[in-house]
Amino acid sequence: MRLRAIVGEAVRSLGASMSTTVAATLTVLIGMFVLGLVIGLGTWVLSWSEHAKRQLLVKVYFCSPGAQGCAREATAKDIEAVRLWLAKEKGERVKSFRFISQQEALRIMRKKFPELTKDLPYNPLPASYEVVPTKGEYTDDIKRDLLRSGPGGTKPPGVETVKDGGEKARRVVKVGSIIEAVFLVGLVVLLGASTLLIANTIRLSIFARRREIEVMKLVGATNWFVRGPFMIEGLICGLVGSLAAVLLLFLGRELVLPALPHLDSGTSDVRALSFELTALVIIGAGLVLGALGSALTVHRFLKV
Amino acid sequence: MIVFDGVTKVYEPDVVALEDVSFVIEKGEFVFIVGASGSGKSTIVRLLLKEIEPTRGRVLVGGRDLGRLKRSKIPMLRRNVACVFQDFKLLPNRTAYENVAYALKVQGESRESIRKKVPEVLSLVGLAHKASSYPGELSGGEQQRVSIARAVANHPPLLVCDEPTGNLDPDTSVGIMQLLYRINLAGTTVLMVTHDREMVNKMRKRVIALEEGRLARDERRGGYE
Repeated sequence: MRLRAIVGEAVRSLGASMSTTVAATLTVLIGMFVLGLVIGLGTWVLSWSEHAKRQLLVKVYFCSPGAQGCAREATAKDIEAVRLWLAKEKGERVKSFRFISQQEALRIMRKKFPELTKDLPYNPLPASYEVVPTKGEYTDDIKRDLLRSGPGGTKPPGVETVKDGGEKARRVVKVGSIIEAVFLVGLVVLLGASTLLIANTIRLSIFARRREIEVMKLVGATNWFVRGPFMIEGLICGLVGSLAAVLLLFLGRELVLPALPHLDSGTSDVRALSFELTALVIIGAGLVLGALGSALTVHRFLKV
Repeated sequence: MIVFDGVTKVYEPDVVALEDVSFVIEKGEFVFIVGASGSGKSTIVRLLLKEIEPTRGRVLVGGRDLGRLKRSKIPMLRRNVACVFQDFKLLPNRTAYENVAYALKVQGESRESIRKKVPEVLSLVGLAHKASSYPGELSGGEQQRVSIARAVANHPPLLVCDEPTGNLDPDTSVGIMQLLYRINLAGTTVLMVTHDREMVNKMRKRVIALEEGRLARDERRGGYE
């Protein structure tokens, strides 16, 4: 009886205060639509930034005949020592590493620059390790520590040089970090703005009914009997508003996105958060904002 | 039924509304509380509804000390201490029927019981034919009758009226007083705060007079002055 009465009160008052109900629902719609856009665009940009960072490699070049700064050619023992160091780091800072022999290096070079390599009298390319770091930011550290991994903290024997992409790599890492920070700040600001907007609309609609709440309390209604219908109203506004936002985002994805210039350039691992998950986040946020916003605002008027 | 035991109420910062007021009201009595504006009449109503707490002293209703009543029990108190206000305090977007039904609904009455009781009590106040009218469509006297119907729908033991005729013309006031008198005859204790000199003098009921927050007079069959 009690629950039925509370739900009945909520449905009744939704119809009785249609204008504020519509205003609250539209505010939720706008707030959740913006949230959906930020999640979609933001996670895509984050994914792109991660992708760009994943392209960063550390290359360990071994001494080949005639290489500068090398007393002798790298031996199998020297290469094994570096492999052991990399294997020790695997899972921590090193995601994977691959040995490229002199022959393989030449084959790759021939494929890329056939004109340059066709008249070579001998193979001048050194053997190397291509190291993929777990994070783009680790390239600098891996390079520094590798160069100190020899006896007494010196460069390991047989290693000619270690390259980490230099300034370009650092710039990619920096830009990636800036993008992440901008996205996070943007997400927090927009989420805060949406919350305030929705809370303000709910507050105004409840403020208009504060006398009603006072009368309810004076005739002996419990706090939950007053709060319940407002919370259900908030839930319904939140649900309808967020479902409408999901529908708009879906239409945008189906109709607007295909019309935009295709951004994909072989970067299939760059993608936004899945639409289903985004929709769940939006609906959840709409429900929580609607119900909690109402409950917190009503709370102020219950002290009669 | 009601005990005020040395009650003092001081509003912030230092406005003394009641000072060491003591009286006892027995079950079934009809009592007027009179006094000039600011003498502390409405403070008595607010204390009875536990809208405010006394600064000193005790207020007991039905043997229960309101100072020890938990906040969660206040709704239960207000279902037993029904109140009629000068400004009616009706829900403007509900009909007369719905206003009365709401008070029963918050008390957990079943739908069948509400369907039975509301027409009965609207008939008692002579408004059966206005059941589907909204407060805005009713006269002041009719609105006050709805307010009384809402207050007595569940037969509360105590009815507190805070200047119920304050906004009404003399003829309408007489009708409201007759209604309250009938309710009192049916066994409900009625405590009425009023400025209505003529009514108090005509009814010759118990009168508690306040002056600047102090109990000035408590007469069994008193007049306004």
